[in-house]
Amino acid sequence: MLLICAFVVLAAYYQANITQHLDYPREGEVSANYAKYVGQNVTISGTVAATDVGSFQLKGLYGTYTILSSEAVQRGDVVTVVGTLQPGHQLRAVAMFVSPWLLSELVYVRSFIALIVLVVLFFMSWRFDWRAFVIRPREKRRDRDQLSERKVE
Amino acid sequence: MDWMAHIAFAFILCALLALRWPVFGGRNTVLVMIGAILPDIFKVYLPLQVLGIYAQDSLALFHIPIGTLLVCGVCALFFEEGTRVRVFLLFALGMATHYALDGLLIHVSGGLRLLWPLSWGAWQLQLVRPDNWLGTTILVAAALLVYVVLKIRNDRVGRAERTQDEMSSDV
Repeated sequence: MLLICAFVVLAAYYQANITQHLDYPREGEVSANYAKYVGQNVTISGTVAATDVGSFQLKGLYGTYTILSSEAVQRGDVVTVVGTLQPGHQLRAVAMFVSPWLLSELVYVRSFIALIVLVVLFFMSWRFDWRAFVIRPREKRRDRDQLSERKVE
Repeated sequence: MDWMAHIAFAFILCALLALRWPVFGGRNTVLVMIGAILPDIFKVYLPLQVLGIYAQDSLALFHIPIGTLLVCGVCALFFEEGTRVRVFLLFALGMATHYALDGLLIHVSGGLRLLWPLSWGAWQLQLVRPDNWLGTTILVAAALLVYVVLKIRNDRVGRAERTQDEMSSDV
């Protein structure tokens, strides 16, 4: 209980103060007060919705931004961009990280497979004792056999 | 970095440590592997985001060492008494491998707040792309290689011990 309380208190403190310690304001802060951040560097993450010559549309969490950049991106790519905010939901890119659609989806596929492998491995070695509500080591068949042999002796 | 890379790295580390300290081997290896993905409970914010719930900042503590240590402590409490400290330490080792790998990643802004709440500083080595598949493939291949080599080695050692036992019982 103490550990959970400590976690909740720290999480609340983090959440209350994080906006003052960011390298750049994020989309959440920008959308809450757009005019305040015009002319400043901000960071926006999202998915490429459309491409054009010298710019592309980035669909974020709260809206769509026009990113002024010559970077080669394709529709569906996941992009994080740091750039100077301009009026009319425009951003002149300063730095950018582009993750192609397929590669970013494959991260989730690999992670899902890993999760299944891990769950199987865990329950091969450990079991949940519902009566005592604790996790105990699973006895190996060899150990069980040795134990029953000893009992017979 | 994906979870496959994290658990493969934790497995390799445990397999090598178990050569010297058997406590890292056997069923304890899987605890280190679980510890290696515990910080990414934070990623629950992604499905929540799809549902329209913005919880990235609320859940961020999961992906900060102090927060992950508290999670390791809570998870260790689910294990039977007498093993909890060891389970906690194994989870914590897994957690350390997670941050070691995540520290290599490229981020446009921000990074790992390793010393929070002492410092709000964020660090990142900017070496590996987060969507990198080659690194994962190398780690998984290395984990399989280590598994096969150690299995052959353990089988040989076991066979030699059995032969020795049989010889001594004959005498």
